[in-house]
Amino acid sequence: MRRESKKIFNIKVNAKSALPVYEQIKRVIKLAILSRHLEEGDQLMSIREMALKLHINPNTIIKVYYQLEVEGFIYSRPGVGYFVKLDGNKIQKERYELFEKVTSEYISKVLDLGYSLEDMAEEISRKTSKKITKKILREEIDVNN
Amino acid sequence: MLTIKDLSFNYGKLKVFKNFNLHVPEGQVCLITGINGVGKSTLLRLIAGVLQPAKGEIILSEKMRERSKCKLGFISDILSLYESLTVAQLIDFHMSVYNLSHFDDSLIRHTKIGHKQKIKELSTGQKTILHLSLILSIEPKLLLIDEIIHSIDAYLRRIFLEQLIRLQSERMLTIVMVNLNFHDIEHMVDRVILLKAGEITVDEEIDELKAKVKKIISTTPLQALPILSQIDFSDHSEFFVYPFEEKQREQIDGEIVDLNLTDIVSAFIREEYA
Amino acid sequence: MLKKEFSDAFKTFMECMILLLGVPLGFVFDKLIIHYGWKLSEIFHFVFLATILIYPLVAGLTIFQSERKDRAFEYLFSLPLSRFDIIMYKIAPRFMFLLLLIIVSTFFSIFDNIWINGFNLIVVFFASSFLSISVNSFVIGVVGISFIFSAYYQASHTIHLIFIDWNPLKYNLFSTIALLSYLITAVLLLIPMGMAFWITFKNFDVKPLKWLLKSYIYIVVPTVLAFYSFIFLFFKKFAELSGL
Repeated sequence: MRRESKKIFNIKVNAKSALPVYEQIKRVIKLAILSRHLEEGDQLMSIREMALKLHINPNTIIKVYYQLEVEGFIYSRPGVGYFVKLDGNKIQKERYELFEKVTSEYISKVLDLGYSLEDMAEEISRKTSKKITKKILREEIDVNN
Repeated sequence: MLTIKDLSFNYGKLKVFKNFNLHVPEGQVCLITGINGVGKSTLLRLIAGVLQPAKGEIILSEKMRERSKCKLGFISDILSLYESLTVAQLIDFHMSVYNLSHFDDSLIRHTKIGHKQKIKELSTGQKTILHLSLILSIEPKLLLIDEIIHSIDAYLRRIFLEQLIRLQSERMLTIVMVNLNFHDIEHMVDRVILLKAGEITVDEEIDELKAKVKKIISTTPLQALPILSQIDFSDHSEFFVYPFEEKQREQIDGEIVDLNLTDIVSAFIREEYA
Repeated sequence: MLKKEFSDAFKTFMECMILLLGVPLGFVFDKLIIHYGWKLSEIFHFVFLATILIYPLVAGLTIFQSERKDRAFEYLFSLPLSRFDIIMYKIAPRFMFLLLLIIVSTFFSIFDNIWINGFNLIVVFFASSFLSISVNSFVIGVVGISFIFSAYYQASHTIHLIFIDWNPLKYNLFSTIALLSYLITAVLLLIPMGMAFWITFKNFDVKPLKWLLKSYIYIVVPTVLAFYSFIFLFFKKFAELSGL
C-alpha cells in the first residue's frame, strides 16, 4: 500500500451513530478509493486483521467487503485477499455523487449558521488561494460529516 | 446451531422459564441481557448441560451433536475450576477429558501465569484467561460466556476479545454471551436479546435495534409515539422511543438522538424499575 | 478424569491408613503409661478393624469432596461426560481400594481372629456414596450412615433368623442363608438410596441444599423407617433369642 493509504488505519467507529457499523466502515474505504488514497490493485487488510484492529465482529467486516465487492469497488482472490478495483467511469460517477452530497451538506450547514451564499463563495476563494487545502487533506477523514 | 424448544425450568417453586423458545444460527454473536435475577445465567447453564430442563429440549446442531458437549465451551460467572489443582494439573485433566493431544499455552504464558501455581492463587483476570485458554483448546463451535468479561482489567479484556475475534474469523464460531456492560463488546455483537421474567421482550439485530430506539429531546410531551421510558428535566424531557420509524422523523417536534447499546438497554431497563 | 479420581481415592485411602499408626502409638502408650498389658496383636486387631470400617464410610461420604471444596461442580458438569460416566469414574477407584482392604483383611483372617464381613463394608461404601450428595457436613453424614447401617444390620439379622425359624442351633454367620439375608437387605436398602441419589444427581445444581433433599425425604427416610418398623415388629423375639 502507498504511504497515503495509511489514513485508512485511523478508522474510528462511532457507536452512537444512526449509521450501522458496517456502513461506517464501508464509507471510509469507499472514500479512500474515490479520493485515490487506495489505488487499483492495492490489497486491503484481511478480514481478521481488520476485525482485530477495530475490535469488531469479523461478520461485520465480511459484510463490508461483500457489499464493496458487489458494488464493484473491490474484488477477491480466494486464498490471497481483497484488492481494490478501479472502474474508471464508475469511480468518476461515485466521486461526483459524493462531491455533490458533501457540497449540499456544506451549503445547508453554512446557511444554517446564518451566512449567505456570497459569504460562502468568498470564504472558498480565500481558502483555495492560500493553499490551505493541503492542510485540510492531512486531517483525519471524519466519516460522519 | 442452537435451538431451544418449549423450555421449562423451575427453581423449586419459582418458574424461571415456561415454554421458552430461541434459535441461534451458526456464526452469530448473540448478547443476552436484562436485570439481575431474570434467568440469564440459568439459561446458559441449561444450554451448557449443567442444569437439566424440566420440560422442552435444547437441540444443538448436527455438527455439535456428534460429540455432544465436545464442541461446547462454557465459562460460568463463578469461573468454576478445580481450585486445589495447579495450572499444569488442570491442563492435564482438561486434555485427558477432551482427548487433546496438545495444548496451546501461549495465552497463559502471555499473561504470566505460572504452571506450578494453584488455581486458587490466581487473580480473577488470570483465572478468566486460563479458563478461556482451556475452552479454546477444544476448538468449540459454540461458546457460552457468562458475565466475566467485565470483571477483568482492560488489557486482559482486550486479549480476551481478540481471541474471540480470531476464532470467529477462522471458523464460524457461535457465541452466546450474557453481559450487563457493553462497553468493549458492543461491536462484537450481532443480535441483542433482552430477557424479562424468563421471557424475551426484545430480540433484534443490533443495527435494527439502533435504528428503532431513539432518544427524543423535547419540551412538549410526545403524542402517539411508543414511549419506552423518559427522563424529566426542569425545562425539557428526554423520551426513549421504541420502535422508531424513519417516516416519523418530520412529524416529531424535538431533537432526535442516536444511541449506543448502553443507552438503549438502559432505556428498556429503566422502564422495569419505574 | 480417572487419573484425578484415582489420586483423590489414594489420598483418602492413605489418610485412613494413618489410623494404623494407632498400633505402635497404642502399644507405646500402654507400655509407658497405662500398663494394661495390651498385646501388639490385640492392638492391631482393634485398630485394623476400626480402619477397615472407617475407610468405606469416608471414601463414600467424600466422593464429591473435591468438587465441593473447589466449587468445581459447574466445570465438571460442563465436561463431555454423562452423569453416569462421572459416577463410574468416582466410584471405581474408591471401590478398588476397598476391595484391596477386604482382600488384605481376608488374608489376615486366615492367620488371626479378625473377621470382617466384606459384604457389609461394601454396603457401607455404597450407602455412604449415595448419601454423600445430600449432606454437606461430614459429621451429619456419619450420623446418618450410622442410623442407616444399624437398620440394615439389625434387619438382616432379623431376616436371617426368620429364615432359620428362630432356631438358634441353625444360626451360622457363614451360611448361605446368612449371606442371602444380607443380600436381600442390602438390595432393599441400596435400591431406594440409589434411586434417590440418581434423581438428585441428575438434576444437581449448586443451589442451596433444600432443593436436593426432596428425593431423600420422600424415598430414603420412609425406607429407613420401614426398616425400623420391621425390626421393631420382631424385636421381642430377637430379644428373647439374644437373652438366651
